[in-house]
Amino acid sequence: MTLTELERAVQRHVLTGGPLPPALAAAVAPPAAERWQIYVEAYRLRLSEALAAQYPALAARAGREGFAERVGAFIATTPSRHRSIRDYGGELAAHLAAGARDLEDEMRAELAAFEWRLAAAFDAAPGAATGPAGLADVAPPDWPGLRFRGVPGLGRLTTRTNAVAVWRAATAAGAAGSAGTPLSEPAAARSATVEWLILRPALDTEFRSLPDDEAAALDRLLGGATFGELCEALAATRADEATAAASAAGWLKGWLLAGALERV
Amino acid sequence: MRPALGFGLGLRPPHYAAILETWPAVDWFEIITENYLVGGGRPLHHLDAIRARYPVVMHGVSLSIGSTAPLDLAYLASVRRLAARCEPEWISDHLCWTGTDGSNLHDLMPLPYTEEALAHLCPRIDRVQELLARPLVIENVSSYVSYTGSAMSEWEFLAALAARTGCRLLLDVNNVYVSSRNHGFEPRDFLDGVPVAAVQQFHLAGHLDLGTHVIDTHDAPVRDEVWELYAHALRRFGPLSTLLERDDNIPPLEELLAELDRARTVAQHALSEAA
Repeated sequence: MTLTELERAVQRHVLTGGPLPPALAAAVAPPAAERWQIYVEAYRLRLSEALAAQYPALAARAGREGFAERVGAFIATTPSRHRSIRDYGGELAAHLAAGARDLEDEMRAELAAFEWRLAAAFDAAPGAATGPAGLADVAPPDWPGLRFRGVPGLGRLTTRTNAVAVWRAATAAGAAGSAGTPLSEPAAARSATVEWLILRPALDTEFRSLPDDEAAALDRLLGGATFGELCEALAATRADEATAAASAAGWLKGWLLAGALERV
Repeated sequence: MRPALGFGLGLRPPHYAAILETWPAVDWFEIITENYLVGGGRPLHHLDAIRARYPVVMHGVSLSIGSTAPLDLAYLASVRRLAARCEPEWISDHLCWTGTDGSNLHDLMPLPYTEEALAHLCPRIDRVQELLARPLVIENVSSYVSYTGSAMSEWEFLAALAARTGCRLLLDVNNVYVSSRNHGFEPRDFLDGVPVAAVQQFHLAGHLDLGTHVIDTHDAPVRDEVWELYAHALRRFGPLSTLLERDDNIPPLEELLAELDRARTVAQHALSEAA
């Protein structure tokens, strides 16, 4: 067996939880299977612990054992393809949403999506946010052509449950919430649609809700629209073009003050 | 060249606040490279502050030097960028593979100790050393199973790697002990079989002794049998840089500082005996 074949065989047996590959031999006593299990179990335990670190509120909600059980199926179907274990688990929210059977499951999927965005913002590159002063020299004719992109780590999310309230409760519970007992309060609840903006302007991650029309405008800009195109789209929902432009300019100023955008 | 940094600790996030408030008497810190391969934020902010006061060594866990998958050049470029930022004394990783065909087991899987593996590893180490523009420091791992095809001992394999590539060696004394128990060899044979001139650094950590076998857990203080082996290593290799690791059940910083003091005491006695 070549080294390539050996590594593939060993990896396959770890990923599938299979028995000791024939290419291996345990040294002396005790049972070889027991030693081999150290690798098999360590793989699952390590990924489960990494997910608990990335999703602390989700883990607190499920309790230590419950969380390990809940993410077991995800780990089984989603091998890590990342150099850093810190990057593992981005598909968990989609996995939970796909398997949701009740409101609690829906809330957990949204909670996972929220926590993943917080984690992404936590150690994102600092970027080069454009402040309002950065547009001071833009001549009026050039304003319609302005384009922006989100700063690294900017996150957007739409929730339809009280996932963020659950996150707040778990965060307030702190270490007590991750001690093992599932955190059951507040109960999962349906809510009106809430649009969230997540940022890390300095060292601390921040988030706030946005009115629906502001969120739609921001998404349009982040999607590549120019400021002029944003104003045109808004005009369809405003009394006139001047009102639309005033709304767009007001929001833009707010996003720039928040450090959310970089001028392209 | 073997710059001895003294007695260091593995830098772990639960200790950031205590370190930044007290600037403890630690000679140097070893960082887990992958924890800082990020764009920015608090991890790099703390690293910069700590690096301004202490020497730092970068210790990776996912180079996967033994994998038969191609070297990850993007990963190596990010390691090089981090090195440019924190100017480490050296860069280390493990004699292992962590995955192949795009998957990562996030574990330090042992290699077979064969000529085929040596022939595979040497050009990869050469390439990494070229890309990082410095000698790579390679650590022996703990292992629980061995391959039927192995044709030499682990220490003979490490010695051959160092001789053929000029790489340096990080001797994890706890890993030597754990593997010796699991594979039935005399741990001093391992230490005595490694060329003195190739060794750059020691690691110390705790393990779990199940009687029939031993697991490298890094979740407890260093055990007496490892302190004894460390003393033997000091007598053979001299006063090399020593690093205390704790990755689970991480206690308050003061507790690790006290354990580091024990390392200093063991070293003082061992080196005075050797003189």
